[in-house]
Amino acid sequence: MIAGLALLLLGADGADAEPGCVRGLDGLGELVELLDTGDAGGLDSDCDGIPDREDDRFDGPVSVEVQHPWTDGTYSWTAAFALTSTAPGQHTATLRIHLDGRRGEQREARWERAAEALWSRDGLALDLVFVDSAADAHATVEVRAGEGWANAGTWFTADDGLVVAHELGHHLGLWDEYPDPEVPDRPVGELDSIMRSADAASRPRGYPRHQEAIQALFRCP
Amino acid sequence: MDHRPSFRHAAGFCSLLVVSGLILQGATARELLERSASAGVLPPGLTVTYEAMHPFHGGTIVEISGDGHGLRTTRRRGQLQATVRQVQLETDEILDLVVLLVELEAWEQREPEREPVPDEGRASVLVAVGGVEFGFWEWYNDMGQRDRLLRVSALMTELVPR
Repeated sequence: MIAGLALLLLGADGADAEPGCVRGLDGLGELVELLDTGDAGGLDSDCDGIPDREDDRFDGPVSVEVQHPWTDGTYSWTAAFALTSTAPGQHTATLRIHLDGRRGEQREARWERAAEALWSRDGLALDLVFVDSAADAHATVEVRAGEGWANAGTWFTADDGLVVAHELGHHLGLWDEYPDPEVPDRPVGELDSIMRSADAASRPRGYPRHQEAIQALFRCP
Repeated sequence: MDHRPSFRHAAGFCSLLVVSGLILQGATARELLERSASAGVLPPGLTVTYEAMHPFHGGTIVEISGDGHGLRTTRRRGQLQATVRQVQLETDEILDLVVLLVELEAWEQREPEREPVPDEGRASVLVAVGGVEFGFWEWYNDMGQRDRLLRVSALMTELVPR
């Protein structure tokens, strides 16, 4: 049985944030430090009050709805998705996206395959679902014809799956990792980090810190 | 060959004096550009920069100086290195740009400020003349709907091809 629980994580500056909002503390550097210390490993995947590391029995999946506003320098957005624990330390992130604009079955299938393949690793599985109604979606993305600068709220029909996977990273609560004059103190990721580059030549991929940051948002209310 | 200055040259010289005088008088950048466009003389020290470069998406920067120097920097998405192209432009070509900037009232910022979402970026044109800088920006993805900065982009990238 999946217990449907709603979890609203508020406060991007750390002051009002729930303990699970590790990205709300101070960004990637502090998150990595937190994960290194093992503090973020205190997940309770079956919400039985016993941390996973001390729990020898998984009592069943628990699902939470995560909705969290972020700011990164001048940028701001809201991450929203469902996070379901499927086993100790194992989670499925379900992202329902309403595409507003140019639809294309084959193109959307490519985007879905690429994004799910990139983000499903290290204990996390991504289930990306394109839905017809904004009311059923975690977020709406405008799709425009041709080429442009894809962002978290607007994609282009010419975008490949890597670009879409990068943008979906924001919907999952991840920050950009490329150098940006608008955010001079932003931690910069590896050249092949998907949150730094979506260029196929750099063979972009997710890093364990990404999955850990997403899973760290799982908290039993 | 007749080395005597022609009437056209004399008129141009007078216009240059007028435009230079405007700088000394502390004229606004708008006055400088308008006078320059109507007189057909470039104001001294003119630089026009169109910038549509994003750290994630790449893009283009075109810089045109009143001395005829044109410089275009292009970087593709994911590439760390940019390519640079330089050209020498005729005065009339740069005057076309000045006329366009006056027509578009390039000293007016019309797009309202708001917080961007991740990976969203702006394009801009910056004009430096007479010790004054002005220009305007638009969200890169919306340039096609505004048809203002897009016209600057089209002309400057035509003058300084990739």
